[in-house]
Amino acid sequence: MKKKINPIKILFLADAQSPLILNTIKLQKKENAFEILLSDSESLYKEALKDYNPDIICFDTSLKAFSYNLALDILKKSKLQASFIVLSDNSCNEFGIMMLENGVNDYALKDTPENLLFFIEKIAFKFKLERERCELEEKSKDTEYRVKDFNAANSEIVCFLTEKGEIKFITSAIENLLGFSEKEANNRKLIDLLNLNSPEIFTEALNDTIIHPKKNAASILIHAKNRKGKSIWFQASFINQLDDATIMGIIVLLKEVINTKFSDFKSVGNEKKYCAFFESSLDGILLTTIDGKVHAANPAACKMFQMTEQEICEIGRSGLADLNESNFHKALKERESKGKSKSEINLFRKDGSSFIAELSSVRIDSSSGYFSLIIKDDTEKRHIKRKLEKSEERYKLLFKLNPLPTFMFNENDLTIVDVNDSCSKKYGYTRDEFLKMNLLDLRNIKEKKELYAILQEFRKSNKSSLHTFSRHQKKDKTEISVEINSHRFFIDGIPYIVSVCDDITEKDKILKKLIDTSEKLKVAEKIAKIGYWEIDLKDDSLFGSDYFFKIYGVKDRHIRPDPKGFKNKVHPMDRTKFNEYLKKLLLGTNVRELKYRIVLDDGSIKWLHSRSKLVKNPNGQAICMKGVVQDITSEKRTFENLAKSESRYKGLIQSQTNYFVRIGVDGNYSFCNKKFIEEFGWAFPDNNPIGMSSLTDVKKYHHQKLFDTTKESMAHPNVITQMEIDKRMKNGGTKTTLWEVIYLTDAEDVGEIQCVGIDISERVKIDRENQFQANLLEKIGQGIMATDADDHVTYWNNAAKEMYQWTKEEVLGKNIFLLLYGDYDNHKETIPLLKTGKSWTGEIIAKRKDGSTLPIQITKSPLFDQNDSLSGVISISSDISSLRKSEIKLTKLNNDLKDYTKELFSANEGLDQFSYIVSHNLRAPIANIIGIGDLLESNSEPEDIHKQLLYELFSNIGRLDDIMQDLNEALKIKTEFPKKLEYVKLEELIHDILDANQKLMVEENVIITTDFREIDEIYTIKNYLYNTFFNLISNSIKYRKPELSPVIEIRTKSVENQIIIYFKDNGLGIDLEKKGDDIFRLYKRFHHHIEGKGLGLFMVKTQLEMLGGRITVISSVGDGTEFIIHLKNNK
Amino acid sequence: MDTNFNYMVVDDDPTNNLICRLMIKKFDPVAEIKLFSKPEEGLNFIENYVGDPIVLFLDVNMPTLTGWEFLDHFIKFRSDIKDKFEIYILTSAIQNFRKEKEIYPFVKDILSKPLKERYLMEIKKSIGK
Repeated sequence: MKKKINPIKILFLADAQSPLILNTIKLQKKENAFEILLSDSESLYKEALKDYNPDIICFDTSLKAFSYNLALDILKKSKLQASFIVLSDNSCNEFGIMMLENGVNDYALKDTPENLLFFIEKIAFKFKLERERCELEEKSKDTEYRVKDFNAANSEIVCFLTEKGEIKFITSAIENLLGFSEKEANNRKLIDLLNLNSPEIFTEALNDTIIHPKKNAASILIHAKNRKGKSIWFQASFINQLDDATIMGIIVLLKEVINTKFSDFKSVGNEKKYCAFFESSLDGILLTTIDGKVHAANPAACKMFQMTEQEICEIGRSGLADLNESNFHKALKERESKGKSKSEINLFRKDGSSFIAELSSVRIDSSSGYFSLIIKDDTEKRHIKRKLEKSEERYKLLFKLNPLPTFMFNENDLTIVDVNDSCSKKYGYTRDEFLKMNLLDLRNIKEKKELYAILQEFRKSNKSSLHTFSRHQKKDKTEISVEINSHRFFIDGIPYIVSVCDDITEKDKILKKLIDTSEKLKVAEKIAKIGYWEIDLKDDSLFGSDYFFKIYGVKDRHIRPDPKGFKNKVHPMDRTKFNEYLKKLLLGTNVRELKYRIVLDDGSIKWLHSRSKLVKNPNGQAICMKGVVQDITSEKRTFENLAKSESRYKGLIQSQTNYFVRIGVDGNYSFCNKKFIEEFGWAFPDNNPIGMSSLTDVKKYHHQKLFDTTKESMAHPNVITQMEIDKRMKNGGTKTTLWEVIYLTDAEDVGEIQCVGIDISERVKIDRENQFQANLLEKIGQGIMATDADDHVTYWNNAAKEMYQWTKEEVLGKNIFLLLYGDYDNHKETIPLLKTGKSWTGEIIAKRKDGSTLPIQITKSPLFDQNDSLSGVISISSDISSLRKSEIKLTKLNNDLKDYTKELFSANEGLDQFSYIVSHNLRAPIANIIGIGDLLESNSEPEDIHKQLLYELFSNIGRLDDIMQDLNEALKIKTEFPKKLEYVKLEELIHDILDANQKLMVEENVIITTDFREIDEIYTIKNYLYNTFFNLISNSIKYRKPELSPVIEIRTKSVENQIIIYFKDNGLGIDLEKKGDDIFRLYKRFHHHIEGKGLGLFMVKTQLEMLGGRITVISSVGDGTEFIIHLKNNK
Repeated sequence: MDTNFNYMVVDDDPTNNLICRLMIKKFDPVAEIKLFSKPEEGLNFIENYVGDPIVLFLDVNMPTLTGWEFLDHFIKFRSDIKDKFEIYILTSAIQNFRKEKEIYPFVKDILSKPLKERYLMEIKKSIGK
């Protein structure tokens, strides 16, 4: 939560025309710190108290509407905490004292705006402090928000800088004043943010502070520009706290300066502004050259001298001032040496009268030698000051009423001239004691020197007010921190200073607590051994926490290398890995963690574990990378040692039968076991490989491989790498060996490569043999295929490719049955045989890649694994198409019959349907024929019966034939598919059906109504749809109610991607509860009186299913029947 | 031995009815034979039956009422009527009706069409016992 400090609200009670108001409004325009409201009537005033909530009320005594007494009463009644200041023309003491006694907080003379300004400032200051304190105390319980709120409550920028001027910490006031957020400011150079007109002043002051750490609060005035280019004047104070363990930096306080004149004067370079200032300034300004010629005079100057600009220019310096006056010469001299001067001299008006003026002269253009001369008519000021001098009483009252300790002292000898009651309360000295004291007595010895320095600086500058921090000693020797606002004024040329001192000890304490909190964080960081770092991608600058630098062994924490320096510390072996990590991190890949090594300057190696992330701004742009690093060297070392001992142990175990060697980083053997020496020792002098190159016993063509592998291994310490290497044998032969290579590292000593190897010559030999055999298989003219236990192809020779058109690459891993045999090969039948270890040979039809078929003779032989279970099959096949072509033709009919049977088996009703047909329909006429045969055989029947029997015999044979034909038709549907799809207009289809069956339709008086509005056309097989419609229509006619004409309603509907056709009649209806399951079955009839073979609906269902649709029925006895057809919309 | 009993055939196939009639006539020329091509009519006949014991040959596959459904109605009749019927299923089917046999234990046997003299002899024997 951020709190914005509102500007000080000032309510002016004055007539709108009052010149004072005009002045102040001008003042307000230049000052953001103040907000001004004008009221000139009692009602407006009351309203303003309620709504405007002013901090300060200025009452102009020239206001006619009501008196200050009334205004004061109204204020008291409103219970508003506001300061009441009276501005008056009346400089009479009695009047002032009376007002103060009446409860007015202060009073000022209208015509001395500087004083007014000082009062306002003082009161504003008091307000500000009060507010700050309240807020800080309120929030102090809450550590979390403490920093933020403290920052927010402080309108000054407080920041900690490194010696390079980079911001370590800055309060949020920077946002209001300069337009940068705290985040943006952090780690950047303060000077860069300030955009100074003369940066050298800032740099000088900063360096000065660094070089002289004891010096207290060097204070300079700087002209900065905020982010938007608006110019701001700051009073910058520097405090060297590099030795302070909690801060370790330079504290810079930036306070916006509200001396408008000063800022305007400084911005002379800007000509437009200068002109405006020149013209409108209340001070007289002359533009002169070094020889005293006047080139221009502003209206105020003309008014002072009572001359026109031309007159002034003509008369020149000599006509305006007394050239013999000593002050005048002093001023000229000063200007000559310093380029500027400040003096008080007598000037002459046109009428010869003189006035004392305060003159400031500055060289504004060194090349042309122009000077600006600012003249302030001091007559009035001096007049008032004299009065002030006389009215000691009044000042005492002023002092007394100020709740803050206020001192007045002589700037030259620092003697305290006056103190108020608050001073006594705060410091414990009585007023009399104070008056005998020197300002220095309030400070400890260390700070006395600083005081001189501050005052000297103050004197040098042309400022009249000063803002400092200091420590004061009370009478009881306890010290308090004070914030001092000082204002200088002259009485008879002697500089006096009024200082308002505010005890900020408590504020300091709170600040200190904050610092303590961050200190605790630092400790936590140390304990966790975690370093925090951040790289700003904008300028590649690196920020690291203390511990981060410690991890990297940077002892001098003031020398902070750039990120490159840190990258260079990464162990050469890990550099690639590290760079990749950074690259990925930058790309936003989720990498997060990395373990890597660094080499410190002293050569020691550390293992670090880094966790990082990329931070993006809301626009998705990467702003910075940040992360933490942890020193995991000790853990890593433990792990390494473990791995090392483990590996060594393993090596020992294996060394009985395996080769076991260690190779140093120089590539030479440092250890070889007995077995190794036995076999390869001959290659080395004295049978001793130690210290000899590990390449010696390796075949030349494998030198590079060995070299590469070791390199790879060294890049990945403690990871096992395998390599196959051919070694030389004594008889000139080759021994193939397989090695496990591991690079064992240690944070301390140089690593070594440990290798454990075995002789794999035998294995390689077998491999080669296998390869040879495989080659042989490739050359054979028979198609050879191997499959695993799951029938997936594992081998496929060239001839197989020729035969089946599939390449090896296409078939590997695929199911051989799906590829080649489909249903033709009854694989399951062969399995039991193969399991017994026997081969199976048969002739089958195989599919080829292009879909054509190929008759093959195939021999399958089983393969067994170690457990004697079937692990695969090797099939050798040969093309027998030429041999079998004629034979196949002969058996085609047979096969077709088989196919029909199989079709029926696989049909929806499958076996059930077929057995039903066989038992109930095929068998019935056959049984009849047998029965008739029995009767005819006995030949005992009379003639007429005999004839009837014969008739029955033939009619049953005819029935049998009909059934055979029906069956064929039902099966044809499946064998003839796919047919051509076409668009069928439903209206036309109905028309065709009616046309073809006109006689029936007329006889039965059939009424068909159609509604094809939703779908009038279907993309389908016309024949099937015709059959369906015809069957359903004829069904409705057949099973109509005898007393009613058949009425059939046909309509279509489109639902999602489906076509629905409704057929509804007014016929007999079907008892679905009883017959539902059977209605679409072959040879099912449900009525006695009707002719029907029970084929129609079976055909309808089968054909619709072939079209990817389905048919359902809704019906009940006596209530008509509705068939509902669902078809996919193929459009 | 000379127990009198009659025959009854229920089957929608007229050829089978003819064969049955001729075959029974040949075997037992004096026996009374009732033929029904509609099972509903057969049930009607049974419901009001009075007289000698009767052998019923019942077909299974009929369009309006299967043989088994016929038996479901039959069970509901008075037992003195039921006792008079010796029921045989006569079917062209060659499947195993094991399940139906369990449901209708009073069915004497399941015979495969066509009706043979051998069947009639065995039936006569079993009734005689």
